[in-house]
Amino acid sequence: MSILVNLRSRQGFIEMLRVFRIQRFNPEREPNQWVDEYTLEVNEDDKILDILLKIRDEVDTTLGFRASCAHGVCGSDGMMIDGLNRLACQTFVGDVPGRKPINIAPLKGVPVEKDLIVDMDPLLDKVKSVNPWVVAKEHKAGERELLMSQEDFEKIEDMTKCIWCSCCTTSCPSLWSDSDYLGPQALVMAARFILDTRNEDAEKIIEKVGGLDGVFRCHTIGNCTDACPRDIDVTGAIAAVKKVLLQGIDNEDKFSNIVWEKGDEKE
Amino acid sequence: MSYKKVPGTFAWWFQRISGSFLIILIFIHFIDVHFIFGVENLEYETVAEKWNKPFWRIMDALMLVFGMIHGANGIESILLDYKKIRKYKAYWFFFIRAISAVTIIIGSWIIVTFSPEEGSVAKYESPVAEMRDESGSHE
Amino acid sequence: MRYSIKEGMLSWLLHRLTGIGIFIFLIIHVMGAIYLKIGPEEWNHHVELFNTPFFRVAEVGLMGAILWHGLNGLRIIIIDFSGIRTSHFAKFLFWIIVFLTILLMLPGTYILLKPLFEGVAG
Repeated sequence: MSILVNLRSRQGFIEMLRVFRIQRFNPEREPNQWVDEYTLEVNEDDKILDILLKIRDEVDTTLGFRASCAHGVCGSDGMMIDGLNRLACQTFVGDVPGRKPINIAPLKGVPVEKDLIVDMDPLLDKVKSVNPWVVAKEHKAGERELLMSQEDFEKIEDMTKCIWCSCCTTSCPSLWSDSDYLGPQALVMAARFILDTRNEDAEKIIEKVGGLDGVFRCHTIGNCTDACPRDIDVTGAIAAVKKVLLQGIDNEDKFSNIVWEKGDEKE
Repeated sequence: MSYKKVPGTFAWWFQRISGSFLIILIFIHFIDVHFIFGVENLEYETVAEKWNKPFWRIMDALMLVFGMIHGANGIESILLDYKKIRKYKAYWFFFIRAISAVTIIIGSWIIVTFSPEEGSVAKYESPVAEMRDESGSHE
Repeated sequence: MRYSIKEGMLSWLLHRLTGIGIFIFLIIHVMGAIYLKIGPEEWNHHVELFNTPFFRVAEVGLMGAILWHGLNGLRIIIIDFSGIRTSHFAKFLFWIIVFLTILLMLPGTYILLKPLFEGVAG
């Protein structure tokens, strides 16, 4: 739908007036959030990020938001646009159909620092708390690099695409009601390193995600999968963790296909 | 080698198993109330006739036990979602579990100890049955 | 500004509300069965309640709640255990269960309300 609209607008430059309702917050000026309306002449294939930059440069210099690469890679401009979490640099004006005002608000469920800037620290701490790294106890420095088979990598390939934008975590109703919930992003990271065949410390991750704030606060709602700008199957990754918790991993079997050991023997 | 089971895994798994089981049980309950016995003649006699067969008693008991545990488990899962409620988790859980336990005990007590009082059925005539008889005679 | 309610969140909200509703109904339903132990007359008096028009209509609501809760429960089980990519599959299943709920509600509503119409006709 939106693709058709964009194609049409590229052929004949349709300029139109759209209203942008942006949620503002400045603790130095006012203790509560308020909404500012800006009316701009825009094209349907303008990015929301371009419009925010235009507003900041030409209309209201006090507007605060995060953005860096503007190509959907750095993940710093995640925000709630028209009621859905997405990246401002990947959302077009035409993605919000009709002529209704476009609502732009900061990510939900985390403290707002200014306007569209939220405090990302609690979210990043959650990801850190699940130990998202490979622990190889017997592997010594100077040896060959750890390898994993192509089939094993295909299982976790989807989850390695995460750009840490936190769009998924802040779209989850479980996080809104419980700010201690680990959240989809941390659980995807957990799934990625539990299923990683090189990791020998998967039990520590499993212990962490199995707690009260862990994987069982996920109710298969699916907001996270809708929100993910990299099309990661977030709900599916969390379901994989649940299945691991139910079945358990047979560690001997899991680590039998580490390629580098076999490679060493051959040489 | 396998790790220690995480608490909550069983509750999650049980919710799915009991849920699937309950779908079958409730379907049978719908059939028995609306087709085999009929909702308009659920009088004392009908219940006595139904529970004469141990099959229906077992069915109803299973539905009661699974339904209440599934329900209590689900409510506990909802309560755990709220950080403020979780502070008083012990009280809430006691409350929910007590209600479920009392309901299961009362229900099983009825199902197990029910025995129709003989003779008492005949002397009572339901106004509904009368109405139905009258309407039937008009037709 | 509110987060927009899409298929997944709507099914979850309905699942929660119907779950709480059915739980409360089940408790009341079991407590009502105490009349069986009190005596035949009291039970028959209690059962007449089931045939009132209000209860018939309310029972249609109950059936809808149970159908939604059951079918959505199956949907969640399928999402959890099938391992199929959820992004489109979950929405597809959502519309499948909406369709199934409506499809099963039609004969169900007829069966539940049939005695009511017969009573009115009689």
